[in-house]
Amino acid sequence: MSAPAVIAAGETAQSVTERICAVTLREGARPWTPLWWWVAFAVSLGLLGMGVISVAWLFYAGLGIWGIDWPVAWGLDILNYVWWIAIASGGTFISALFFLLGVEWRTALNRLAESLTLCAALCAAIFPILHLGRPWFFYWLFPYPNTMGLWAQFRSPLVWDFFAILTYVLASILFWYFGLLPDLATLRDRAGRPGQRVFYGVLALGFRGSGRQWRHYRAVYAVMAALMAPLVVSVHSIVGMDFAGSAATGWHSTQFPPFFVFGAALSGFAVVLVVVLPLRALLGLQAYVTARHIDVLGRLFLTSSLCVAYAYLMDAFSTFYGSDPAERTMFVLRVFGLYAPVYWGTIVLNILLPQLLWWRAARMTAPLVWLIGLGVLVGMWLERFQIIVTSLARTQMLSAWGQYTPTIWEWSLLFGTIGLFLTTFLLIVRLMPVVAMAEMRAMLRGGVG
Amino acid sequence: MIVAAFATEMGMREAAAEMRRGDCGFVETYMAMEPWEAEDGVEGGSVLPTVMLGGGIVGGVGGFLMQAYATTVSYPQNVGGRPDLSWPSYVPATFELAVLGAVVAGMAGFLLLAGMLRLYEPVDEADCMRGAMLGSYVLVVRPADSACARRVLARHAPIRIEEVAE
Amino acid sequence: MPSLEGLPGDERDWIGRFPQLEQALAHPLDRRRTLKLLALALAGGGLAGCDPGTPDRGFVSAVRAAPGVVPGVPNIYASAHVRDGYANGILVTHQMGRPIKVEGNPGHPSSLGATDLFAQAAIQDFYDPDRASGPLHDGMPAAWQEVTTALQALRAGPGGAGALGGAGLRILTGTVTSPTLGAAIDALLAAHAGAIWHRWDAIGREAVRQGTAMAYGRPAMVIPDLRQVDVALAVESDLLDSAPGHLRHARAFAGRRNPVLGDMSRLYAVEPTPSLTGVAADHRFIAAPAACEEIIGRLAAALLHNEEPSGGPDWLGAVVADLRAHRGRALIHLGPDYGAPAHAAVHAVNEALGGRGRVFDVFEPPEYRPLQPVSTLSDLMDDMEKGRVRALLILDVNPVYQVPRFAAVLPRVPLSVALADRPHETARAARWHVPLAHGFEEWGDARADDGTATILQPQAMPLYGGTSAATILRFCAGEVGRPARELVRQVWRERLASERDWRAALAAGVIPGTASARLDVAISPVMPPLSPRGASADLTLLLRPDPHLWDGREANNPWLQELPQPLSKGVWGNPLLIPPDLARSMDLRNGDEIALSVGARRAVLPVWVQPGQVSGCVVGLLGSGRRHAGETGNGVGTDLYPLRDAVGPVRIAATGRRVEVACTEHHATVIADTPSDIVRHGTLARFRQEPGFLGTEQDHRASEAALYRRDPGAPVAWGMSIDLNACIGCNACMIACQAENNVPVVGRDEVLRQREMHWLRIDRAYEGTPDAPDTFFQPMLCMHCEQAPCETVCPVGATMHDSEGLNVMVYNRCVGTKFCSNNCPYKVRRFNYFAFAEEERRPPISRNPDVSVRARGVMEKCTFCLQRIAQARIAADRDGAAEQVVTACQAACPTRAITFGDINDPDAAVRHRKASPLTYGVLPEQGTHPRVTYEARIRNPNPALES
Repeated sequence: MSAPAVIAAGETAQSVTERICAVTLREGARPWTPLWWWVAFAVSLGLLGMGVISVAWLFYAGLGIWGIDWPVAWGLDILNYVWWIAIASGGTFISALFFLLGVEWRTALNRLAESLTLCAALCAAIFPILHLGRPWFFYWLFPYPNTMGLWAQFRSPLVWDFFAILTYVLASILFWYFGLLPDLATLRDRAGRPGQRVFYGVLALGFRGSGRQWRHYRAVYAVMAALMAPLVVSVHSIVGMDFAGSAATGWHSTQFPPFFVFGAALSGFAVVLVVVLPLRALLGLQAYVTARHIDVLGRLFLTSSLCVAYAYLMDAFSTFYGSDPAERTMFVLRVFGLYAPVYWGTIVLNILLPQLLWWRAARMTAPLVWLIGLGVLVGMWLERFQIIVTSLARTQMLSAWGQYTPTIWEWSLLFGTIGLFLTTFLLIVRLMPVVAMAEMRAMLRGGVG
Repeated sequence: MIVAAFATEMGMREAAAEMRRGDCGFVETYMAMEPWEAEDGVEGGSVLPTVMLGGGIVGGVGGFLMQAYATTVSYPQNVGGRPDLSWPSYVPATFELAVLGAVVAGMAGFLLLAGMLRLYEPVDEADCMRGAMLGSYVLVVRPADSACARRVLARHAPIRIEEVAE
Repeated sequence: MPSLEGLPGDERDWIGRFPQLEQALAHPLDRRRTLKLLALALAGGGLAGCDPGTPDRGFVSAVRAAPGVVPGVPNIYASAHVRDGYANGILVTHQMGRPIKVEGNPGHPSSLGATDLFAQAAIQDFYDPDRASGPLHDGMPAAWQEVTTALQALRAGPGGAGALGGAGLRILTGTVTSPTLGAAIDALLAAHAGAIWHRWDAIGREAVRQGTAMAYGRPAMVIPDLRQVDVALAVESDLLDSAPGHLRHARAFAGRRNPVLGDMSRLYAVEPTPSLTGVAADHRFIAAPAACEEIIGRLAAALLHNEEPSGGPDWLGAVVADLRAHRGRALIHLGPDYGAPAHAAVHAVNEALGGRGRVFDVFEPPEYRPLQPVSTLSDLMDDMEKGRVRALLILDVNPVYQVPRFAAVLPRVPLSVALADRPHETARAARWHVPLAHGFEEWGDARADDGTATILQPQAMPLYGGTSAATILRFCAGEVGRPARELVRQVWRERLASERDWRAALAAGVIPGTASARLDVAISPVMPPLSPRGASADLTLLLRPDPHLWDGREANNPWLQELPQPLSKGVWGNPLLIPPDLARSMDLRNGDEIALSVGARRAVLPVWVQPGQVSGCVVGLLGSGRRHAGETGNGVGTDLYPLRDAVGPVRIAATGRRVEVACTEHHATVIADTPSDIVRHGTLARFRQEPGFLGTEQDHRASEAALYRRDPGAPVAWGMSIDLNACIGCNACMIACQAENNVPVVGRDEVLRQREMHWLRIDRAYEGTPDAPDTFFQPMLCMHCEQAPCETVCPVGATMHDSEGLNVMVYNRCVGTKFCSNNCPYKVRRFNYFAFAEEERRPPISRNPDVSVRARGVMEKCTFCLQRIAQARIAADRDGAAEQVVTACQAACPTRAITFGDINDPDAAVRHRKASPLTYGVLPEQGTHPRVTYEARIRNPNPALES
């Protein structure tokens, strides 16, 4: 096998520590923070500000400012939620699943991937609140003691979803932070400026690398990883059940849970590629995120695209194999009707385009892979559009057919969350070690990664 | 206490093992990565997976019982003609709460059992300690028998030895 | 309570309210008793505070509740809703002294307990904030004192008549059936020699009256009895939706349409554009008006002269044969848009078919001076133009809006006085506008189509101030200060001599024995020749009243503006209805704007394709495009009245622009070629062979095989059955629901965004080809599924089941996920995207206080009129009788298509209905077990015409 190495030749534990710490601490570097970061951060803040305005107006004026209506009561709100939560899956897949599988290339990527998960999950988590008619009562979904003795309605997929998101966000934060502890300790000890020392010192929570700490650390990390892997599958299954658990035409499908997991994996890998490819150049990480990583990610990406293709195929098959004429009508309209461009966009971007990755040359061409990744992100967005909107717009009752056109307030919210995503991610990239140094050290030693 | 920095993990491990064998005192090692195998004379395992299992069980069982209690005893309602105890519907939340219980138990247990949250320890006074997370291998011994400890250290030739007040 | 007679009035009143009082008063007073009585007096003071405080407090509650109707509400007063003169009896429900809901008066012959949508919507009219708040002079506010001074000029007697001279005085009214108003007109005409009364309705039935007079040689009213009709042919008929007495006719028609309940009648319809009658027919033939007239000629030839039909459409022979075969049980009905000779011919044919005395009869007409005077509006306008009209009283008609020429000549009248409920176009153009009191505010009377008179008693103190037409006319006749009540009493002094009779008539809502006498007149042997319209080579423009705005008078009624048109489902506007073939040939789609010109007159409006409309005809709806209807109605739609009297060829040309047309059916009209499972239907022949042929039994078996069923638990289980054979799609139920349940109006823009809020909608389904589709109506409301998909998905339990099987919605608990709506297979849930209720232009006191007004961000839907169920339960607990609940939609329905009740009660009508072999649930494969079921539509086509 002539696979490229997962790490450049000549890298040692010492060099990894120095290089990664240098990225974060930027000892002696001028400017202290690079210009590209400021530019990107300004753009992100701009987008975020747009989102804040959009939310403020939403709270003031009400849900009517969106384009959702009587038959299509869910639109970009739920669409964006599903899209973001699927994007969030990439980090968990790479970090937890491949940790369990003992795959060593994961080491260089897991920190970045987990950070992406965190930021995307944050973006996802605000939509279930914003989409409510009375968002200030969102906590009614939580089982808490109240004077009226009322409970959440546990048969509702939305309550399952609430628990899933809650667990996923909390567990992702803990998993990410837990994995960060040794590196924070490293930064604390390495930092020159007093402010940095205090900042990382507090965040490191007193991790010193003692034998006892490592013993417990390794045990907890392994179990957490073992839990995160099924958790991410369960979260996307439950997101699928948000739809499959209903009786609506186009939603009521038993294959949705695995279908959504496939879709999540695809968009998760896509976002990792889209973010990591430019970042490795900007941060000078080529030594750690090597061609091997891009190659492996490309293969995974292709595999998940094939899984999604299978799901699309089965969707069509079960529609026509089944006996429900409404499902068939809906499917035909999905493929040839008003929203047909959305369907075909989905097919082209999610299925056809990634087929280029069969060729190694394509996988090795970073700009092409980046474009395919971006295409898949758009494609997955379109896929959710056709699942959510076309299904609602074309139900069994002809009298309740409708249309949906998003308004500027829905678009601004989507871009606002992209702003939130980028803002948080840029902060993490700037302030936290972008590669798991402790794990790299262990890997370079040849120990357990 | 005596703090010694070693150049290699091997050196530190051997010194630590010898001290433990000789009952020189309470020995703790510090390094910037996971030890590649359990140290001699130290219990290799951790009780935390069991704690997490417990947390998971509490989360899961508690979650299921909460749902069952809410829908059968506390506030039974006819929802969609489903039985009061619609247990299949409780499975997703039960699973999620089990995972949440386990993860939270793991984190809390780690903070508790691994001696975390101590932002300052006397051992930090030793200069060697600043290298512990940066690639050097540090051995700290709280000697019961100071002579024994020094003897062992002398034999293993650490880069540096410091003595810090407890 | 006989002992009441000797007591003074007030005390009797009190004892009537509190029966125990009598006993209390009979006892000697001690301290305790005095205190009790004092307490009662205090409470009584509170009650008196709630008294509506009508003039003289002299109106009387309907103490005799109609059978089958459980009031259960504080007060109900009988009155009538008058449209174009003809009265439909109503009962007005008052809450805390304010009218909040209209029901039909079961004792009234034109209502039989039902209402049309206009009567239902009268509540909005009553509370309309745009009604006149005071008189106007030349469009500027004036004082009542000035009006009185101005009218002095019209006063008969010393100083009055002399100033003007009777010859120049003209009075313009619509059709009058009110004896009081008639007497006032008589008095005015008597006081001013030479004064002339003109009758004119924008949407008139003059041709019908003249045709009948032509046929019988004297004014008469022909009233059909559809219960007796076995075969009917309706030629562009309005019998089921707007003819006088249409509620009764619709009831009678529907009574013969369900094959499980009795023998089915057969209805043929011929019409150029689909009407409710046409949709209800077993055979609907499409013909242009000229062809319809020709068909009448052929029918006359065939049935009067026994000629075999030759020429004409190929179906005519079979229809004639069918009519002949049912001699004595056959009827032809012709709509008001045909000339008098055609009506006369139809009467003759009906006489020849031998149905007189059974399927129809001839009566004394109910109108005031039915054929007199003959002077028409055009005569009036000629005189106005020539300056012969010195003074003009315009009573509650709006000719300035409806007749462009009238607007041009009105300024030539030195003294024009418009009595109107609002400062509308005529009121502003006239010199003086005198506010007219709403029918709920003043005393009056009116006759039904069969002559039965009703006294209109005021329902509340005037909201804005206004007077009655009779009072003004009497004032002009020299009788100053005659309140309307006195005038009404005076007219009915003879018949209702005693106070007891008067009160009884008020309570019952009808004056007994006032129905018109049957006329013993023979049909004229000589029929005037039909004057066939020249079949124009190109386009024909048909102008028809808007089914909801009527002649435009309801344009400011938001309920009616937002009420979907029966077929097009359009709201807030009046696109030109074009036939599908024209749309194809001109490449027009719904919403394409066109310029419609008739001669030199031109209107620009969007088009709407109307399946089943005759080729070569375009249909415009009158009543839109008001300039001064009020804030709600101004500028909505396009005014087509200017085209009505225009002459010249009709042309349409696309402008290339597109206009958004608000419509509540958002799919491009789908013509299903396979029979839909949602609206099940079949033929009578098939039903006789195999009653369960619509798959109803399989559904039943499937539902029995369900995995589990949960018994809601209560002894009562509410359910509803809707008979699709009876539903004619008249929309009365929708307005009734809207009025009862405070359902907000959202406005045109929000309808365009598909956010209308109707809890009950009438779905319209087409089958077949666009050129000649079969059309079906299906009321769609919350199905109250026993296994409701909406409930399981609500994360907070805001919607769930109660023990009586209702799917209830807890607004306070709703957080607004909208998942319930997405998961509702019937899509009957509505979401408050904005604070729709808050933004409505209606005073809060006009709402039903028993129903929560929903806030922004919550879901809402049909509750089966939960408040009525609760009231019935209270009444049942109090009286020990069984709960009897009538939902608002059920109460309004003229055809009794809706049956509601306890499906656990073996005697309940709903239970019998649900046992019908026609009963089916919509979307049975969803496994929802709906409590609302439908009785499939069975049609009775002529086997000879079945292809």
